[in-house]
Amino acid sequence: MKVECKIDPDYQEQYAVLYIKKMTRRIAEIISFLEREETDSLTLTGAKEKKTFFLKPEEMVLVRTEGREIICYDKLKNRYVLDKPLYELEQILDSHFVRISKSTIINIRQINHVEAGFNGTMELVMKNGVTDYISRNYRKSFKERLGLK
Amino acid sequence: MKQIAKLVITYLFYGVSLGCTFFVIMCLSFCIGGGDEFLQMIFDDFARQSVGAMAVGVACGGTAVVYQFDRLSGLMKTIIHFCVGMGVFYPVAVSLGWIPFFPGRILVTVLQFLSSCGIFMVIWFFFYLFNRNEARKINERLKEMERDKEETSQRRRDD
Repeated sequence: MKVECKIDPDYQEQYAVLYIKKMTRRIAEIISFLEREETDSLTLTGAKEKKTFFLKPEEMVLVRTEGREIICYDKLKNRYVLDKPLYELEQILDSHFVRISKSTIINIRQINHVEAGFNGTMELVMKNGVTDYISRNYRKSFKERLGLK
Repeated sequence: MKQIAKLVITYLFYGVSLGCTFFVIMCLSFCIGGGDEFLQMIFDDFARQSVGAMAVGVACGGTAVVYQFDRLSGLMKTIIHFCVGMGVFYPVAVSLGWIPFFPGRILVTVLQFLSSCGIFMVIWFFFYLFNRNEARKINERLKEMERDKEETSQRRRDD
């Protein structure tokens, strides 16, 4: 692949644009590598039992709407209430996070496995045991994110 | 709201085309197997037969639109799809003579109804097989990613 690099210390924000025919596994890895530099420093806050905790993206397993709250589950299945809407989190979090339905975003590094349902649904089981469904509308983008057709 | 209306209309057309395609395939198969006499029977009642096929197509295929709505649970979506599908298919099939009807013979009618349900189950089973294959591919890919991750961290430790 041809690579062009423009170096200018005056740039306010660093960003990369890729012109690709399709998303492949290697390109997805490159994107996540580039994004890591920005997101390594990202920390969100979540409330649990009236206390505020700092959450690192790599600790976050699943974020979803439960009632009127945005809930984040971490690796130990702790439940935190976030103060940011899902669409905003989707923009902030790196490419390891993918939306699987209107109400859920998951960390693909934290998926244990998926199970096929009888009615055409697909259930996702996370490494911490939390489960959710991949909506049909988001299945294609989910597969593409994994580098599958 | 506009998006929902668009989705419903798309599935409505999908259901109509599914019904029409199935109708033509069935006519063709019976024509090849049973000759022109069968087609004559269909042509004598063409309007009702084709509208019936479209209605069944919409009820069975078009109602798959429920799977697009996240607010409903998986079980609820299945129940809606099954009830609407069977609720339209069975009466239409009986009234248009696709399934022979024997008034008064309850056991035969019940068996017929159950076999119609069986057809639905078989279709669902094929969807399940397709889905299971998709899940298998995803799980394989996840394992591959896990291996890559372990190899990368091993390499970093070695460096």
